Amino acid sequence: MNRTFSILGDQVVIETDQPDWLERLDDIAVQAHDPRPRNRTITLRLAKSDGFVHIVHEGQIIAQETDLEAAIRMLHLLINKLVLEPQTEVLKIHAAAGTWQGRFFLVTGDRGAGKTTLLLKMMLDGAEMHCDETVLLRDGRIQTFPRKFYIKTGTLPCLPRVAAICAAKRAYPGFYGGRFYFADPTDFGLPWRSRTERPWAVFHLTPAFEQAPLLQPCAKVEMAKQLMLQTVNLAGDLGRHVAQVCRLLETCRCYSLRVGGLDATAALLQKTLA
Amino acid sequence: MPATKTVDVKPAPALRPCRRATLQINHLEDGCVVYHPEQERVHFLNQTAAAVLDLCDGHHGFEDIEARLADRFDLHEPGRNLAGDIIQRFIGEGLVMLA
Repeated sequence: MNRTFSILGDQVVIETDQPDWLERLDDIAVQAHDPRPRNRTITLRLAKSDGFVHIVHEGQIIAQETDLEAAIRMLHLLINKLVLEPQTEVLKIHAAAGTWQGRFFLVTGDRGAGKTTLLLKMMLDGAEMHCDETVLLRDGRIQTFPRKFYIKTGTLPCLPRVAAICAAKRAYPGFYGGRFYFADPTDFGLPWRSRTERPWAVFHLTPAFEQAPLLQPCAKVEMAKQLMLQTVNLAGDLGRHVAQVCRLLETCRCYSLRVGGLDATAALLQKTLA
Repeated sequence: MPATKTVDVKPAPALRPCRRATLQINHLEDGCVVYHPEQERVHFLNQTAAAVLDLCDGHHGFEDIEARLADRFDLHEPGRNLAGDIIQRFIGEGLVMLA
């Protein structure tokens, strides 16, 4: 028994001999439209043994967990790691991405700044949401990485429609406490597509949830610094990485966005992108 | 451990500042991002600092750079030594040498 899906041209096959685990595999299966030609096949096996759940890749146990929940979460991480590992020529930037009225935009900021919640609100208002965690930078263009969104339980009171969707899902233990749901636009009846393009604008978020939102132009030099701080694989030829980030910013608008109330912040973002 | 030695880098006026040839300078509309490969350090310069670095080409003296900067950014304040201060920081960071 297996689940098979595709991420950026790589076919991912997850095998298991436990029939009741298949619906857990559905939680992390990526349904994003992937027009790329088939590249590699990555096969992983989820197996029960001696009270542990093992994750096996190329004949080796690469992870083991004591419960299925933790194993699924780990499996999801490992799939993304294996897909991204060979992409040594790209910069991996911690950012969310969406498209509003044809304009492709990036949202960056520290963990907890509100990227996922804001993008979900934008999606419910009509934006296309591509990703909430990682984008890839290559040759001055951004490629969105279709990782399942992590919707934290703390987000749900702000977004009742999202809460209703998540009510039918399983929650998983969060990496920093709390719990989260795996989700993607197809859960809302919307298409999930990757995009490779230069962004029209980049927004750097700072959280101030009790205040009014505030949008200000951001110097490109400052945005370059913020994007480099959010880059997870700065190594090797640092000079080339710096040049890549600067090239990305040459043609796009840069803004600092103080995230206040969700509705007002989303309205401000939409007005800016219109 | 020896105490840190403070070096007075106040330049002689006749010397001409020259940026290090190996710097990788990425210009943006409001400044530039400079990579110093020997130090593996990245410097984020605003528009004023970027203009000073551009002028540190070994052909301009301090007074000339100061005058050009004042003209470009309308900074005609008597006694102000903005370019000199920036260049001294550049020298301290190893971005510029005196030729």
